[in-house]
Amino acid sequence: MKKVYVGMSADLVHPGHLNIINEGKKYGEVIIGLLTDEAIASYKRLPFLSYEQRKTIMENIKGVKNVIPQETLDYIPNLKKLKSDYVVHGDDWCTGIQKETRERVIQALNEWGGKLIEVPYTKGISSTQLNNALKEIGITPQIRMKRLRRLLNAKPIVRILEAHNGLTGLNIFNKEGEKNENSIFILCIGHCS
Amino acid sequence: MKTVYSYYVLDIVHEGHLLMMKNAKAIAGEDGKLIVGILTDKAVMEKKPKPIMPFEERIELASAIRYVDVAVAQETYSPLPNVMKIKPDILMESTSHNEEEIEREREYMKSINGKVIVIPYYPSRSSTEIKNRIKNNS
Repeated sequence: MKKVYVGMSADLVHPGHLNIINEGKKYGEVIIGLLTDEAIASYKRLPFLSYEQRKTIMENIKGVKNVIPQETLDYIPNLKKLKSDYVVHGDDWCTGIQKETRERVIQALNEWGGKLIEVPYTKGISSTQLNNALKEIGITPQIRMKRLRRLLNAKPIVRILEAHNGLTGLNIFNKEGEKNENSIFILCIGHCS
Repeated sequence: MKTVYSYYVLDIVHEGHLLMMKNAKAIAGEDGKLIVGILTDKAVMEKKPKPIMPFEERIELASAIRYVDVAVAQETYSPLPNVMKIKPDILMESTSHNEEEIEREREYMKSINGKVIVIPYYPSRSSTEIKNRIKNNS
């Protein structure tokens, strides 16, 4: 059986993900390289669901043979380990932040005669849509604190900022995170007098 | 061989759904069938706000989940109209649903020699909690 590698974050599963898995199934066994929180945070916002939650969901999708962690945005470490015959990805990564990743995948696959399969990108649910739809839902400090804790674990620390509670802390996080792709931050929360 | 009916909005797939479906499939048994009802937008809006994901996407996701044999549209918030058509051996219910309604379902299931199995709801894994986290990110 040929090995088909699919790297994804799979935060909010939508038919676009299913489309890629179904396409992959045509070539062999689908192995999902699920990006860890750290890998995702290295180039965009932290996922809403934790790695374990995302893993459970992907393991339960028809056609998925196995789910393994992909610890960097770079596919190469996993690809070299698996020597996968195919990589399947949406065709949305030819430009932008992932362009370089794509080039490296093609290079690595060439080493052992593997092939990159690109499928037309299906637009799924966007965070913006979600945000608009969710405006009226309240939020508790507990959820905010939990999220902040996950962020601290996932993002590299490069700068110290002072905040006096979880709310301002998280605001700083989100703002700085938008400005700097490979974010940043450090926080001193509580009574830092 | 049993047929089990279980229903969902399935706006954002989370572990709570998977747990419910896993249990439902286990009850159906290896050669049994798990039929999942996905509420149409109109059905959801009898009690809750309109889902974020369109119905077509929600039902497609349901069909892709390992435990699901068949996904069908459920056009009312109550599972009864579908249950009357499908006549499953077991109807799965959640403790988060109205006890009176569950009682009505019990009566009907009894009349066709079936039963209702009520499973606890896991609020910490609900779509609402996930939506909160999404909102918090804005």
